[in-house]
Amino acid sequence: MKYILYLVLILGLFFGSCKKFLEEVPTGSLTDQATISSNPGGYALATGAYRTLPNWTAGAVQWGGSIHGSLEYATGKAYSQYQGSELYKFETNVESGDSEYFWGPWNYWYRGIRDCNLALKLLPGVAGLSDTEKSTLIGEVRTLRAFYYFILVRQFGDVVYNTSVLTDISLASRPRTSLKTIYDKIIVPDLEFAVNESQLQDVRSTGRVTKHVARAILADVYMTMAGYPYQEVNATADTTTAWCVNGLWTQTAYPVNTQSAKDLLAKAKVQVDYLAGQTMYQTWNYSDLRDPAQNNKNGAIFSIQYWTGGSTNGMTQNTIPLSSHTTVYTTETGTTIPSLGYSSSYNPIDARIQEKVYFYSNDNIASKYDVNEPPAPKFPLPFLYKFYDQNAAKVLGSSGLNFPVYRYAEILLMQTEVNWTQRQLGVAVPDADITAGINAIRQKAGLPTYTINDVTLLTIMSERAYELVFENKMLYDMRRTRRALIDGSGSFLGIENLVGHQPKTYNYRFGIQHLLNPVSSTEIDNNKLCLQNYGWMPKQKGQN
Amino acid sequence: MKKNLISIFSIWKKYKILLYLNLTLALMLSMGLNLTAAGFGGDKPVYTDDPQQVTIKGTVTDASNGSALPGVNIVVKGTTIGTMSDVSGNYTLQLPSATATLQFSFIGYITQDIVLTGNTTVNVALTSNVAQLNEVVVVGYGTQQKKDLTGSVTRVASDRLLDKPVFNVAQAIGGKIAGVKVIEANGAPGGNPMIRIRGTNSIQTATGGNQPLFVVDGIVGVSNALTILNPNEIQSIDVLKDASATAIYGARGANGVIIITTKRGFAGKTTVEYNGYVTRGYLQKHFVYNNAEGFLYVTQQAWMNISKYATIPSWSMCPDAAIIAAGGGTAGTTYSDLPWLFEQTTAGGYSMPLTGKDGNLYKPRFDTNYESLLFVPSTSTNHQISIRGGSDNAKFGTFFNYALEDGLLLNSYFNRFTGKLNGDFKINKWLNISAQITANKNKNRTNDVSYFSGGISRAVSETFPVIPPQYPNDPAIYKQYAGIYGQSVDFPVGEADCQNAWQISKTVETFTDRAQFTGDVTLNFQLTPDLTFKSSFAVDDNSYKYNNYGGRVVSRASFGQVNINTQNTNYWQNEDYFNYNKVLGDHNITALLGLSWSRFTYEYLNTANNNYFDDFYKWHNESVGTAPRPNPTSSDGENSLNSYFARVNYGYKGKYLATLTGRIDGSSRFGANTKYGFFPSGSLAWRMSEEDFIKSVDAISNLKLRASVGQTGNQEIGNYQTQTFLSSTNVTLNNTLQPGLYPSSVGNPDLKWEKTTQYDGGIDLGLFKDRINLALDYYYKKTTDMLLSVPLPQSTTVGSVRENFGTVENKGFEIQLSTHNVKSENFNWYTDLSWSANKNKILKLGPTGADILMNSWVGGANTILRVGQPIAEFFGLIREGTYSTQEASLAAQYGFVPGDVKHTDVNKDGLISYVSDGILLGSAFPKWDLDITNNIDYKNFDFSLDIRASYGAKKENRTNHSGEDRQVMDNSKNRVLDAWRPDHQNTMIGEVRPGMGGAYYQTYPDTHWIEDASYVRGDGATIGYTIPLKSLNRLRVYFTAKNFFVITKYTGYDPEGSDSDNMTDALTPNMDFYMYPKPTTYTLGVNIAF
Repeated sequence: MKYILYLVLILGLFFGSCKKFLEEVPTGSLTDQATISSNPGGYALATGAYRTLPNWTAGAVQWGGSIHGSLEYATGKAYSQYQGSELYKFETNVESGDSEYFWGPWNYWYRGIRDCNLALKLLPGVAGLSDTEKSTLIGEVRTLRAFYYFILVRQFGDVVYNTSVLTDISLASRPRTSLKTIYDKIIVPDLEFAVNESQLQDVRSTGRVTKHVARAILADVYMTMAGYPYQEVNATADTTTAWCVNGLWTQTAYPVNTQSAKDLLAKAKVQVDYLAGQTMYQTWNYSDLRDPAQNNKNGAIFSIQYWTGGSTNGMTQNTIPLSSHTTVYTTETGTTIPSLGYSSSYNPIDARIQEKVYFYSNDNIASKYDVNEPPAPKFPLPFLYKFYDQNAAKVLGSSGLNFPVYRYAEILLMQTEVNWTQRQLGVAVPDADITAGINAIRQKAGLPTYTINDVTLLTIMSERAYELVFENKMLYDMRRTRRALIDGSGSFLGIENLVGHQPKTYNYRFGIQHLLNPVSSTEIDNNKLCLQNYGWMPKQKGQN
Repeated sequence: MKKNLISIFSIWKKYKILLYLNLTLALMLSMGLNLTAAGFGGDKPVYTDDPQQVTIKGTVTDASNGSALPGVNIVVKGTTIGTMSDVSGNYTLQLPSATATLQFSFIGYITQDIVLTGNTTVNVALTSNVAQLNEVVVVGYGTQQKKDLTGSVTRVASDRLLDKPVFNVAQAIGGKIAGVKVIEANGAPGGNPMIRIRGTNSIQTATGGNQPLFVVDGIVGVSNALTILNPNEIQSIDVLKDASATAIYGARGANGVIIITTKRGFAGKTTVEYNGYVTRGYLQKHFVYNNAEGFLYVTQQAWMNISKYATIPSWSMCPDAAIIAAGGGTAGTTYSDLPWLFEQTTAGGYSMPLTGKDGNLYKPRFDTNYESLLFVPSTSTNHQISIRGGSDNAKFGTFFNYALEDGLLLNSYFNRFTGKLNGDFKINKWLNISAQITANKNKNRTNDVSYFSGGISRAVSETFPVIPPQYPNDPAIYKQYAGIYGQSVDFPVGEADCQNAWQISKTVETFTDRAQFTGDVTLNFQLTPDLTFKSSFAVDDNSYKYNNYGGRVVSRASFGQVNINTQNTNYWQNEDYFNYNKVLGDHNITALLGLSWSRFTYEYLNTANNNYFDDFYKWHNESVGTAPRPNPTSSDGENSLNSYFARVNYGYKGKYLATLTGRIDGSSRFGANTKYGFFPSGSLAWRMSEEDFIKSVDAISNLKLRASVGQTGNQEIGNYQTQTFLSSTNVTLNNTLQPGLYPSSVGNPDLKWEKTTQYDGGIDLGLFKDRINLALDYYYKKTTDMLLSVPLPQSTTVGSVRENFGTVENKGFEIQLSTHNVKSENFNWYTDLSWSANKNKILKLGPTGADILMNSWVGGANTILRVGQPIAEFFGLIREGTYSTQEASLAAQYGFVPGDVKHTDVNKDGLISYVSDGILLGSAFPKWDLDITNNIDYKNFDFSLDIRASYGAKKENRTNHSGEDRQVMDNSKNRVLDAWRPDHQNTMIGEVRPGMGGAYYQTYPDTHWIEDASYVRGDGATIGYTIPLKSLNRLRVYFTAKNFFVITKYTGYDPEGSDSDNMTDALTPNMDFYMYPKPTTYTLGVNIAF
């Protein structure tokens, strides 16, 4: 019975160590148990915080729709030719938190925040980084986190407070925190750290956040805080949901005359003046905005980075007229077009409204359709040319053009605005400080310069509209000032209260609910503590 | 149940004739039954000249009807002396001595040993395997006589597989086993069907997480069993359904187990068999879309409506400004500008006036039917040879198969070469060795594109019919278009993206090459007469390479795109177990104790490139592409299982039977503290027919009551789910890529098995000497600790975590009925019926109980998971119809006008909001399935008819999105001709409008998209004739028609299946966005044995 002996021996082998046999050792991805200690590892943590930015121009599930376009549609000054993108729902007030135009940004920017939180947790422990590098990278990441939160509060009001890496999922659901707290405890401290404490440098050729970027965002933050709704909630208890959820709001004069507003403007002025004085940005051209060769050059301060070999920019494609057959793109949907009222409000002599500067009405048929590239029929209205990447449209079918978030022209307009606003609130400001910025812009556009008396909220906001058309600024301008520009011919007719304003393309007037966007329906579903904004659907169960 | 009965009656009304037929059978059956007695002849031995030579002769018959059995192997045990019975069942055998044991064996029959007792005429009646009682079924790690079973196991034996053409295992078992639902995805060759045994247990396991476990010749979880196994090699398929049967597979048994046993050698004269067939496939049904006339009509109508539905119309697309009076463009291209598509005609020369800018009338040059161009009759073939034989000490089997399954779509096919060799060797008294190697090489060519959803079937329906597949090469007429492929954009009214199906078929190429090697060696030690020990080692090694090229035009802005990927997987297992078998008086004990180890590893590599200057290179030279950044990706991983299992069967007097099973499984996929799980089961059976009080009832030949309970598990969640990962990505910064790290998952170190507890009660009944055999089963299954991807807030987490959360139940009823309606020497008629109903319900879902919306597509989520409802429930709005002129003010409240589609404002909030106003629209799974097969043998003829019915399933006809809800972007279904008009307002279809003209339209999953998918299908019909030839043991020719009719209300190609090869969604069949049609096939085949 020798074989039985063998069997026992064989079995003994099999019954041996089995704990190791069932161990899982992933090879393709680091786990949270990994120690990131190298210098490149540290940079990779910080770089991860940038990964969500390209979603700025991303498309939506609905064909032809884009996150960028929806922000312009919400101002009432945009038009979409292709209607399958469901942007028309803005026109008839049937939007809800079910739409990707709302859950998309909510999810994208919170994703960015989570990426930042991870980097901020791990960066201090990365042995391979020098103290200077750590300080620089933490400065970058905190700037980005502040920026993501800044987008969220302007779109949704009170948002969920999250500054750490969640390890206990039972704590995943939490209520929204007052936007005041978000500004005071996250946005401002993060940016002030970056500007005042971090060792951030100002070399923009890497495409990373510079100290100038932090300053530009901080200036914008201060100016926004000096307006609505921060000034409104500032006067009430911190935890209130009064105006976000219950729709309790006030409409007082703009600028808001409080000490807090004055203090914030004074701080904004410091940053704006600093940036306006930087010579590196002062040579810039309209064509820079559509030329990938000028990425991170000239007037660019903070841009979303694109490249044809990596993340690509959707702007060129989204602005091509519907089925015009003028590009190599296989879908031409015309979903991101300034409304006719908007383009008609430019002064006809404005350089920016001239053919193929910011707008165009003619193009040639792409060689894909006709090798002779004959002229296409004239477009029914001016389309956006500002971000028209010629090589992408005619040859490549993908665009590596950067998208501007802050550029020098805006700094000049911010300078005019902050000085003008301060004067409205009784601060002594020299005339030149008010007119210098706006006139620099107007001169570039070939328009007559303004005297101090010409500078009003209407002319400042108009100039922002002309210069920054479809840079996703107008919705935030409308909300912080609670004023809306009225379309005109050759100029905007006037500026009026946002609530009650009816865009020409809409069948209704803006109401209180339009001071905020609806909160993402998936957040409402999965976070039972998160309430919906006033007037929007879907609501939390039991929410009035 | 009540509902089911009601549905029986309703279907009975509908399909009376079929049921009537079977009822008649039952009546006939109760008349005259006769059983042929079989026995031995009584002649004295005849001595030949050689005193030591004995000649034995006799006849072999079928015990059930006395008919002669040709081709039976007759061998003298322990020698190589043997012969085979002839066409009349007669045989003659020369023996060296009169003391010997003859062994009679024949496929499909139970082998009989006859000890010679001096008689020279030995007539033998062989009992068919199909005869239920003595049938041996394969259970995990062993076999069992069916009469001793306590669990629910159903077998399909090889004779059912051989007599008609089946290309794969799924086709072989489809409809044959109550409780097993097989849904073929579509008609594409090489597709992977969906198989559900007793319903869907689980919600969010990996793809295939609800598929049963396949065990092929002991290799547990063998890959691709459904597509690449050669059905002709299969000896039997046993389906383990209840927990008593499946618990021996523990953590992988929850979805049921399909055990496939392949044929092996035998002792006796070497037998060569050839089976071959040729199949011709045709479109079963046509998809009805507009022809050129209908298309041009819709186009004209749509453009006339443009100002009503567009804020600012697109300017230039109108074919003719004069015709489109209301709005539209003025700079439009007209018929006269498109001489390559339109030619001049005279008044009345075409059914509608198409006026060009030049004032002349035009008509289209082409009216292309892309369906008939792309879906052409197919020719498939299958050749299989097996050579088997051997002696008592060494048996061998070799098998070769070449099969070509040709698809209806041009250039789509699946071919397969398999070779297999197995041997069983008796080394000495206490050791047997069995070994097997199988090599399989196959190639799948698909002629489809992934660049847009719906693929080529969609392009077939949506390419404008006025466009030719390719322009004639005549520059005088066709100008710059002469000789090139037509494209929908040549008639510039639709989306630029719409691609010509013909061009796709010519410039897209996809091949998937697979090679599989499996092998195993088993050592079987006979330790004592009662105790054996088996040790086996098996390997399953797979590789595939996927070569894909998308043409410069059809790959959208990629300008030619290559994807090449390759994967290698390797699985090995070692199993060691003792089997103990003892009869002690009235007590019968069998026991099993063992352990197993297994590991699965994979490696994957993908490369992609684009920007090819010419379509010449296809995928053959990837480096020609000039993509800014060619994209390689790779991954690898492994998972392991370590298991211990035991089973005890106990029988008392063959009346009272009990089985206890337990398995401990340890899986690498689970958390450190939860790696091992225990899966017990127990079952009891009472063979009442062995009791005296039943024995006295002549009519009852078998009566058994069964009851079982047990737990099984599911681990199909993919690897590495218990850990928290920091993933890496490439971030663009200043025209370079930089590595970036980010948090990508929330791990769950406590993750453990999903457990399914199943209760089963069954009755096996045999009447009139088993002329009627009935098995009834009721089961209740509850899956707890479900492996659910629990949604979490995006504000604080990545959005989900894998948790053991949620409960699903399945309960159902199964009937398996086999009757031998007419029994005589020349005429035999059998009927097999299987009927099953399963009811599925989600009992618990996620921590908040919130709905989980699934399958987001155009318009929103297409399916929903909701507590209290079944899995795979469709979701959407209620379409009431269209707003009429009288309802203008109501329409305005919702932002619409008369002519728009009208949806119900379910929550009455004044908005039509997809999620808030959406409701449940029915289940993708049927209420019940029925299959009736009749087999008739008349002399040398055999007939069979297989009818299948399914009742109560819904199917989402997504083609309504692009084929109906919007127009002119692509060609539409011709149902669009029924759209709203001022003089035709009672319709489901909104007024036509040009989608690419800037008109809005509504397109949401809704009641109009959901169709009744009940059907009655002529699944198969065969007529065969066995030619009586002396020289051959068997020569049968047959003709089979499959899928030869489908009675259904469903308007698409087929009421069952999905558009994607592997199902659009692993949980939900029946989502149809232009599925690949299933053919009707006609087959001519031959079976030869010599």
